[in-house]
Amino acid sequence: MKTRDLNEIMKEYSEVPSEHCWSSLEQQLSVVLPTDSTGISASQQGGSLATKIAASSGKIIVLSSVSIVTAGAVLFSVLHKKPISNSFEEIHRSTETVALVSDTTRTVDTLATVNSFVEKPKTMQNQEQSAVPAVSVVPVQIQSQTPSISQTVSSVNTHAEEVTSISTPIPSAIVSSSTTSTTTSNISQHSAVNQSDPVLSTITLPESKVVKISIPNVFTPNQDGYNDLFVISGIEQCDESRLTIRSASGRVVFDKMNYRNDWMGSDLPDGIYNYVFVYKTNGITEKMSGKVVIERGY
Amino acid sequence: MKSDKEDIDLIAGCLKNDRICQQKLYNKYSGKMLGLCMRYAKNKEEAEDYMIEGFMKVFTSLNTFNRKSSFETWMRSIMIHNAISNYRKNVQNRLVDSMEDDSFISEVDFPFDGIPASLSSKELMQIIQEMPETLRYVLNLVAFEGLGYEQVATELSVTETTVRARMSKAKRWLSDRIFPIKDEKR
Repeated sequence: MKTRDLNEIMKEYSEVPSEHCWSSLEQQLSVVLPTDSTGISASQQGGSLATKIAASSGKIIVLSSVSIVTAGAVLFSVLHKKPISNSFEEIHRSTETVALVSDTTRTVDTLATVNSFVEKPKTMQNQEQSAVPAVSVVPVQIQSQTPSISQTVSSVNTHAEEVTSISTPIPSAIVSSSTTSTTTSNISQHSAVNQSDPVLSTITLPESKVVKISIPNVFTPNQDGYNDLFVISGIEQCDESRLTIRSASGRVVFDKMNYRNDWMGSDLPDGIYNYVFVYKTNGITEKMSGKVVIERGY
Repeated sequence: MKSDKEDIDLIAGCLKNDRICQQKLYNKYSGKMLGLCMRYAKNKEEAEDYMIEGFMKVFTSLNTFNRKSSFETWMRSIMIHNAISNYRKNVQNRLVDSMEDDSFISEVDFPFDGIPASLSSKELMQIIQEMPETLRYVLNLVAFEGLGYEQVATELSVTETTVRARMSKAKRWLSDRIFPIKDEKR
């Protein structure tokens, strides 16, 4: 029976990549390593939103401050507009709103801040710099009001007048939301209405428990009754968790799923150890890491 | 092994940011590199993502390439490290999967050089891709890249015992799937 060597087979293995691979690579290259001719045009053609922002970050100021509660959504709307001085036909509108699924839990009042950028066209960049502010921010603050049945979140303060005064009419905000949570319908229903209205959108969010994790930076496992255990407060509220502790050299000295605050340092020498604590609450995974000192004091 | 003349010309072109040279270089190596990424990914789409990321790293850090060594080897190591860093990113999101049993199972004697010739390399690749990710990375690094257990443990941030245990599991996985097929085909 003929046999072959697995290593040889696999080392020689090659496969023809799909055709879109080069074009997507080329697109990335045009952003990171632009050539003189293709640099700008390629980035205008598009690709992902992130690519666009990265490409034109020199021209627009990207203000993205995002803080989210529970299953909130990030509304990220980019508005490209020309200043008033242009004739109406020239007005180039492009609006992109991306609703991202949030990854974050925890407290905080602010839900999402929606930043709108008004990008000036490249041709107008230099001449109009002083006349028209390049960027105007429309903050949409979303506050949680009642913690009872559902958190009603409303947005206020669209500086509509401010925007119109410096540039042409506001393009209608199109919301294309891809949210896995139950909030999807609410977001798209409400925020698609009344762009000029000060109240931009109303988002309803499901109730969720707030988990506050606190990890000590030192403990003293010397059986004196004080701080003998490595206690992570709030751990009982985690649905699932994993604690990994490494020595300064990176060796794993302790690794446990669903740790129950019962580690006594396993006879390790005093010193600094690094911990990584991964936990899951409300279906969202978070990670905390830092240093912990074992100090027995004798 | 030295880089051949063609490579050196292409690299010089790429360093000048010549898109055509970059495409030529891509066309020359993409097949092999995708073959490498296939072993680390669970399907072709994922492998293509890894390959594109890898090529981006190759092009952006081409100036650090030491021309005394083989260009292909250098690219391979970039691809491998790119795959590993993706694995590290993913591993934290898979809390449940990480609850694996690292207890040692008896050493399986898997003949790496005794693969029946009737098996096509596509079939073998499929077997490797179906393997759980944790085993697949250990198998790749130990068996195909020839790293020591200790090195693999450092790369994947696990203990050496875990690597050994995973390696035996990977061998068992392979022999369970390769040798029944051999019996059928005989």
